[in-house]
Amino acid sequence: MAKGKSANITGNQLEKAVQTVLLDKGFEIEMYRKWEKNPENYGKELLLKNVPFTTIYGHKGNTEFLLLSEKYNLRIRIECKWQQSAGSVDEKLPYLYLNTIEAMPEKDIMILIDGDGFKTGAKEWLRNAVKEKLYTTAENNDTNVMVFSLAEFFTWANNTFN
Amino acid sequence: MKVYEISNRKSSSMNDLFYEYKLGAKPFLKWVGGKRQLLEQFEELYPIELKLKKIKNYYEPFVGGGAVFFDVAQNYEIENAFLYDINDELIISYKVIQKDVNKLIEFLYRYDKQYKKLNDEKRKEYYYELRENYNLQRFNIDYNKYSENWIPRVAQTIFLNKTCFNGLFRFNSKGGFNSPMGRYKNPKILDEQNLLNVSKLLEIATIKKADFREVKNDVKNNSFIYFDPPYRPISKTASFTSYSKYNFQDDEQLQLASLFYELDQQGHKLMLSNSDPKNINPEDDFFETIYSAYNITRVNAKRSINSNGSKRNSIKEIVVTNY
Repeated sequence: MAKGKSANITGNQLEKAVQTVLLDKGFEIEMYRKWEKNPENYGKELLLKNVPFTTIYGHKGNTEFLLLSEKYNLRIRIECKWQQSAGSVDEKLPYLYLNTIEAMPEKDIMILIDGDGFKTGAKEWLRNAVKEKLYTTAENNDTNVMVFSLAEFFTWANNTFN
Repeated sequence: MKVYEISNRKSSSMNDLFYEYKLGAKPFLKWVGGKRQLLEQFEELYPIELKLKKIKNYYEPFVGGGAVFFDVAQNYEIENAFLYDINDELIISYKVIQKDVNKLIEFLYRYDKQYKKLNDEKRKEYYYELRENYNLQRFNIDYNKYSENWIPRVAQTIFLNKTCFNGLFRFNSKGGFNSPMGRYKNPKILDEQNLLNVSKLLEIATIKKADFREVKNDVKNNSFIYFDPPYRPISKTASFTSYSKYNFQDDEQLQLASLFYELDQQGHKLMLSNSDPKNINPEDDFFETIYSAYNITRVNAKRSINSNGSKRNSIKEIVVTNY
């Protein structure tokens, strides 16, 4: 797709896809802030939405999902990045990456990244940064970051929750 | 004494010696979005294992008019077919034809005879009265348990389907059939030979009223699964996805994609068709994105859904395959 043109699938649909797939796998979906007040009212297989964290700048940040599963022993923060049109989102990828290794409290983080609007090399940079554990220190290099396209997410979900 | 007669059947009769299910059966209902016109293009896209007779099980989770089932079952020597749909009327129609086709033919014979002797005005009255009765009676039918009541019901379904506007077999949100009468001089309400052929072909079929996910529970090795879901609307005004009381929106398209990935990992051969959003918006990458791991082929279709004849152009549709 030419730069500057918009795709009709949206970031919202990427998030919908995550919810759709996980709902189908038996996960309950709830807002993080609602769950946090009364976690005892919910089950143990959960997809929580709008999950806060404190960014590397010290601001309040939000991630789309937190996946909790007692059955599969999982606690995964899921960050969705959809690049609908050429713009600044791809320039935020290094910022996102640094947040995953320095600011997000979970040890397992999934970055779901799709769309054709990213600058050439942006997605590759992110995948390489994750693979090479760029900029990590002895304290945080045990963070496990996964980078998936939507297609890879479908496959991961089917393999994990079989 | 045995009486011999010269068969009038088409050339396929020679093949009958080798494959008893090559009957010339075709869909018994007119079906919006039916695939008969696409079969020639589809045949190029079927998996090679089907052509080599290695695939023995066929699944169609949105069977609709069943054009692809009829094609596959009569040309590729499958042994079992699993046909599913969420539409009650459709499923009981398949089941009645499978089990009680002769009684169904008797009912249809009567409808055909009664209707054809009426003038235009009386035909209209007959159609709308029957439609009203059909909608009222649906509350008296137990769709889950086979019964003799299903037979006249299915005869009415076929009658309405053959006489309604453009074969638009459409139900409103409450489940009522609401298509207006069509303008057919001589509708073929009873096609006896075809119903008999369909009945014979359905010997190999397991028919279920079920959501598309049911295929997961039944699927066996050596299977070919063809998905023909309600099409994603290609424009904001094309709100014809609701042929039934069940909606099929982007969420459902995504659930279906997820199932497609799951079945792919199990090693089945999969094919799926849908509308091509690029007919309207070349930038719409919905299917390219959700099926990015697979092959997408575009085929030419002539769709007659639009009531405006000038808008019934040839358009593209997509076919996704995992092979």
